[in-house]
This record gives sequence, C-alpha cells and structure tokens, in this order.
Amino acid sequence: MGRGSQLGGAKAVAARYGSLLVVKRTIELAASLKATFEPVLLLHLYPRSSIDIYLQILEVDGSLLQAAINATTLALISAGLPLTDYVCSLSLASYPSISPSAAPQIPPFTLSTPSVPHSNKESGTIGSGSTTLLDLCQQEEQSLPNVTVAVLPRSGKVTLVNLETRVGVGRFEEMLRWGVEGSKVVQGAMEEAVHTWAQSLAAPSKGLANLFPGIAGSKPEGEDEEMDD
Amino acid sequence: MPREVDPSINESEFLHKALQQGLRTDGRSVYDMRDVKLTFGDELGWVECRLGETRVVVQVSGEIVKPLADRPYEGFLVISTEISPMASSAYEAGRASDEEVLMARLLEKALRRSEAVDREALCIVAGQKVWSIRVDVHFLDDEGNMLDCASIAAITALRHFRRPDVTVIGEDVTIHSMAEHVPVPLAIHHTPICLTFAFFGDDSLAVLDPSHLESLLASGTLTLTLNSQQEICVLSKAGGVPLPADDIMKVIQIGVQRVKEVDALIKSSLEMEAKKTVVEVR
Repeated sequence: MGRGSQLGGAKAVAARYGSLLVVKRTIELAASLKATFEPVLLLHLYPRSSIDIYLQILEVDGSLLQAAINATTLALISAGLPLTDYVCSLSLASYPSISPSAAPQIPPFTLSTPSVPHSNKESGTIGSGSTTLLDLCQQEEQSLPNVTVAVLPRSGKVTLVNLETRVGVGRFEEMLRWGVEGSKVVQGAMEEAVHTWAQSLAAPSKGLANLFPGIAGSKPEGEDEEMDD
Repeated sequence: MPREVDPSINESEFLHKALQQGLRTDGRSVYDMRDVKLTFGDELGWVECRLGETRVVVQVSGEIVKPLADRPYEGFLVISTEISPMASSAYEAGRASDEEVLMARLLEKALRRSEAVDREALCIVAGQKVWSIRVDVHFLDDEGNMLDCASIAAITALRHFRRPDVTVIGEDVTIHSMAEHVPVPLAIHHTPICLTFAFFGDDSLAVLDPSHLESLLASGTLTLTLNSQQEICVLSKAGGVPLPADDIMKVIQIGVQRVKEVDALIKSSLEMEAKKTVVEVR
C-alpha cells in the first residue's frame, strides 16, 4: 500500500442518517471493502492519487457483503483499474442435516478437522452431518449460521472471512472449503460479464471495419485471437 | 492530536527478518500469548486484565428499565467502548476512528451476538421491567492487542458480577439490597474469548497476540472468537493479505488450544477470588 496513493473509504451517505448501529455497520462494511481491495489493486501505478469507491445499496435480500464485494470488483474492472485477480465473494450457511431424499453432498475436498459422522439412513453412506447452502437469501441468513468469504480464484487464497454466528469448527471448515470451490463459479460469471461488456466496447462500426480489414470483430477468425486474454 | 509515527525502516526490517527465523522482538515464540493477569476490584463486576503491558478495565453494572415493545421478555446488554487518550496519544477523545469502531463491533459481536449472556433470564416482569446490564470498557494502556485483553476482562467481569435479587409478587417488585439477599450471578451460556493473529508479508507468517509494533507492521489481521466448546463465535478477517484456506484452519486449531488455556485461567482466577471475598454465607 504505497504512501503516495490511497484507497479512499466508501463511507455511504446512509451513515449520516442511520441509527448508531447502522452507522457502525456501514463503517464496518466500508472498512472491509477497503482492506479487501488494497492488496489486490495495483496502487503503485497511481501515485499521489485517491481511488474512491461509492457504494449505493438499492435492495437487500441477504448477502449484502457478498454483493458489495462482487459489485466493487466489476466496477473497478469497468473503470479500467488493474487488479491482480478477480475478488469473488460468496455467502454460505450450514444446515444441520442431510435431506433424506437427496444424495449426500460429496465435496471435492478433504477436511482437516475430523467431523462428526452422521449416517444418511436412506442410502447408508456416512456424511458429515450438515449440508452447505451457497448464496443466501435474507431468511436463510437470519436463521442459519452463515459466513461470507471473498476468494482470489487464481491462487485459491482467501482474502475476507466474516463469520458472526456461532458454529462448530468442523462445520466452519466445510463452509470455508465450499466457499473456495464456489468462488470459481462466481469467477466464471464475472468473466462472462466482463467479456460481453468488453466486446460491446470493441464492436467496430461498419465503416471502420471497411477501412481497416482485420480489426477486432470484423473477421470471425481474427475475433477469437483478439478477444482471448 | 498527533497521528502515530510510522515505524522506521530499521524496525520494520528487523521485525521481518526475525519473524522469518521464527523469533519475535519480545522473546516470545510465534504462537505464544503474553501473560494474562486478572485483578478483581472491591465491587462485583470490576475486573482489570493485563496482557503484557496492555491494560483494560471493565466495569459491569445493572439497572432496571422498560423492555422493547416487540421483545417484552428480553433484557439488554449494552457494551460501551470509548478509547480515551489515556490508552495512547494516538487516540482522540470523542472522535472514534475507524479502528475503534471495528474493535467495538468485534467486542459487541463476541459478547452480544454470540449470546453469551442469557437475556431472557434478565426479565423481571414481562413487558414492564427488565435488567439492562451495562459493560463499560476502559482502555488504560495500548501496547497492542487491546481487543483480546478487553474480551478477557469483559467476560470475566460478567462472570464476576452479581445483580441484586428481586422478588416479584403479582405486580409488586421488591429489589433486595446486597445486605438483605445474596446477589444473583448472571446466566452465562459460554465464555467467548477473542484471539487476534497478525500476518506479515506474503508468506503467511502469523503471530498470535501482536505487540504494538507488530500490529503497526502487520499486513493483515485475523480475529477469532472461540469458546472452550470448540465453537467459533466470530471470525473476522476483514481483508488484508490473502491467505490459503489451510493456513486459516491451522490458525483456528492453534486458537482452540489457546482458548482452553485462557478459559482455565479465568476459571481459576474466579475461584481464587471467590475464596477471598465472602459473597454468601451458608
């Protein structure tokens, strides 16, 4: 974090009008965003400058922090600011049982914490005793222990973890590992959005295409080479 | 009020090089906490906690108030944390910096959201009278990691505190003084304790209970609130250097061990104190 450049906080205007708790929560959200993006933005390229992020919350149906982080990532990309990686955020909850009709969740990872085995009577296989839900809505967030994670998908490193409800260590690890896996899906969606947006920017007018044959988008073969990163 | 002076390059390099060899500038090993010393005051609910040179005093008090209309059976737990310049000249009286707000939020989450104190047990007459327990946290000395120190002091103070006994006959409420009836302890479900880890550089070098210098030079912190039943009450890694999930789990395992030790210390301190002061005679 260079001395010459700083990441301006996103102090929402709502902070002035809310109750004390709302103000504290807003400051917490702003500080989390700032601390999440400072290591990811290439700030040394912008000395003596301030990058300000303004967040306007339109509607909340749970997972506010997740939405804020994902929106900020896309906004920074759209502004043309270089990032070392996408910051993909996901909210997860732990539901303490396996649905009797569904097959037990088989995660693509192994846990380091020994979890309490719980047998699914239907199929007879041993599961971990809980199901992880991804991307929560308001009701799920309020009734289940939940965590929000932000992951850098290229390295699989976790940049933000926010847990506010009591949960056992084994179930927490499950949520964390699922968060890292699930962030790949978020990254896929982000990449698609960025590609579509970038293509719309680069779509040349017909006249330009005639003047400069071979420019991006004018020839189908050339398009593939140009658009891949 | 002057802003805190950034550490010199000498100090920063020395710290980093020492950490790479697993040494800390105050002689501890990387996952060692400083010594916790608990002192109890004359009043029930006054506790001072020393974590090395960091000092925090917590005072718990109770008063009877009217409950909220939509929650007539619940009492209140109010946590007040205002950092005065007594802790360090870097803090301004009155204005809460972002750091202070974050610390206050974490303390609130650790004590209130984790439901350590049973608020329904604070009800006297539903809809009319409930206890409002106030936890005042005073930061006396900031030598790094005031949050952990405050959390230990606060939960010990809550366990030390006793409220006056109350008799309810119909609508009549009689509050007995400490001399008449033995005061009643609060109903505490579990003992949440905060542990803060600081990370340095990109190689995930982690230390537990950062000193003042270490917290200034850290590239990221992780605060873990655990109880002795291996439950995580709060985990806050708000940005900072990205870490692999394995490192986070490793840190949690270390936290689980340390919390057991701190919990045992709190228990033994409370027991020793109970022997010294006579609260009830049977």
